[in-house]
Amino acid sequence: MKRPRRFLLLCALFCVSSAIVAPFLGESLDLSDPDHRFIFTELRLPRALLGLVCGASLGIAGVVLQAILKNPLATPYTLGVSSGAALGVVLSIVLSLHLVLPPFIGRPLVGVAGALLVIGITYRAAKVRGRLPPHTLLLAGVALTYLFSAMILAIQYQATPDDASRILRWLVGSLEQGEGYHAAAVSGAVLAVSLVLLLPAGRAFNALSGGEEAALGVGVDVPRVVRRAYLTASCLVGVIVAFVGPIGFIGLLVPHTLRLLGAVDNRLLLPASALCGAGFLVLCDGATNLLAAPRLPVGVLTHLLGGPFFLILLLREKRRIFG
Amino acid sequence: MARIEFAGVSAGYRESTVLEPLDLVIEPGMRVGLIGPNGSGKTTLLRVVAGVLPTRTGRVLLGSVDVAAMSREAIARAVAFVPQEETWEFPFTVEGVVACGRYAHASSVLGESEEDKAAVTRAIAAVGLQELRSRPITELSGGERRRAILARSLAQSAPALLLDEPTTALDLRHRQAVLRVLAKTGGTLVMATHDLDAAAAYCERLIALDYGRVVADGPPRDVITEEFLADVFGVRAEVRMEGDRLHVIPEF
Repeated sequence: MKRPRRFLLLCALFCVSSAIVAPFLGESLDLSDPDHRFIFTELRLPRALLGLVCGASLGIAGVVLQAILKNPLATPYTLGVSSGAALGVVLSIVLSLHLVLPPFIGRPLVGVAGALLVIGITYRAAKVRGRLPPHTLLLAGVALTYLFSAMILAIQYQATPDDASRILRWLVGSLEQGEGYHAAAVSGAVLAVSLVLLLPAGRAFNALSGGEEAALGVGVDVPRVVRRAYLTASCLVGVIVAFVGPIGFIGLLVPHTLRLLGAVDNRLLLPASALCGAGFLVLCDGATNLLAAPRLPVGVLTHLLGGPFFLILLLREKRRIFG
Repeated sequence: MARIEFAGVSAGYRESTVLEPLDLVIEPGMRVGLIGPNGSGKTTLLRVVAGVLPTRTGRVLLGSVDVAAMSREAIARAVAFVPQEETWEFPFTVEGVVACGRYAHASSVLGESEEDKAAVTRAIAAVGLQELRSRPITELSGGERRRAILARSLAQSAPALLLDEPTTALDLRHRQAVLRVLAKTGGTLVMATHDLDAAAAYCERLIALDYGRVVADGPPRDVITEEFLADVFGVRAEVRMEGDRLHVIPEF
């Protein structure tokens, strides 16, 4: 890309303008009215803030996992990380963890614990002579996704109607279950730490695109880079899934769209995906306020957009490989 | 520029030992060809020098330093290793791929220094890909891609180049282009290859491996003989000298 700074500035503009517009989408608000002001400051604003943080996190996690796995179709969902976090949260719902810990603390803890459980199992299952070959990591992730999804279904089936309904609503993925400012603050802090750890790795991710041996050859400490990136992205996703449920496809849609626009270099793609992921999710969430009444969870919209996009990507890959 | 020394080095994968204990010295600036049948240990030998594969016994020394004690970046500043195969899933430009060679030198995590940019430009020019520098690597032909990857190793500015079958699967034009670049490159060159004619033409020393052991070591015309080809490769072939050039002509 010829002008990376200008591109990044445009991404930032998209993010900021989405954040400004989204809370005003839907039923118009008169901010001089105390009730409307309450809706704006206590519902729409924290929701938009949480959307920004979640979108940025999912966007950056997608880039990281695609880079370390050398797989354009990798997402937190294909690796089982989301399923692990989801199982943790589902268990916390049926075990009424909220009676012991406030949800904005308890949920991320169980989410991260679930994600770490998946990391532990996939790491042991996929490790070959101290390395994590992408294909074994991906296969281990897929196996765990199926296993954990079955466990979630079993728990849901046995749960009380109230808990089953709560689990179902959470599994769809929505920003409204996000515990407002607290959730935005906790996930924002985790995102900030993750950015500090992941942004400097862009150059190493570039080298990894040519394969593990190529990256080792130019001086990348591949096992260390992969371990750190995998762990950081997984914890980040664990926290996000815990708050808003498994909102899919952001990590696929956003990085690939940016790559199509020329942002292939991971040093540019990482911050651009964070900015555009944030803007995209908050805009999608605002759009759900316009599209249907009662309001659809944003997870439904991202899946509706992501499914066809995923198919287009597959077709592109097929054409590229088989002509 | 440092010499490469193998002191009792053996290496392998899982239960199998691919490289039997060997002692070798490659002097600085020397062009060395590693020849031998498939599975003879050529790639393994390059991997242990590049620190990609740990040795089972013995030490590989770059100068006086054990590779096992060096950081990955320090190894990359000493030797540039180009593996046999590379697949790029994402459409990085040629320039982007070549810039990866500056990883071990980069002072900034975000941008490239002027020195990095100059090294990338020089490397791209050396392989003759100036006109394709903005082209995605996924859209290049096999030969162009190989040259781009060679340029990345040149951008690494390491005093020694380790190349694993650099001309495999290339047509005549691209093979010549790659070999011409290698001929102009200063520094130590260690190249594993099945292209015996090229090895004889471009290397001043050939090391022949068979079953992980060195079976011949010396100037090309001393190593590549009809007896050697029959013993090591199991083929009957004529070795013909035309001026300074050695040619291997297999019998059918």
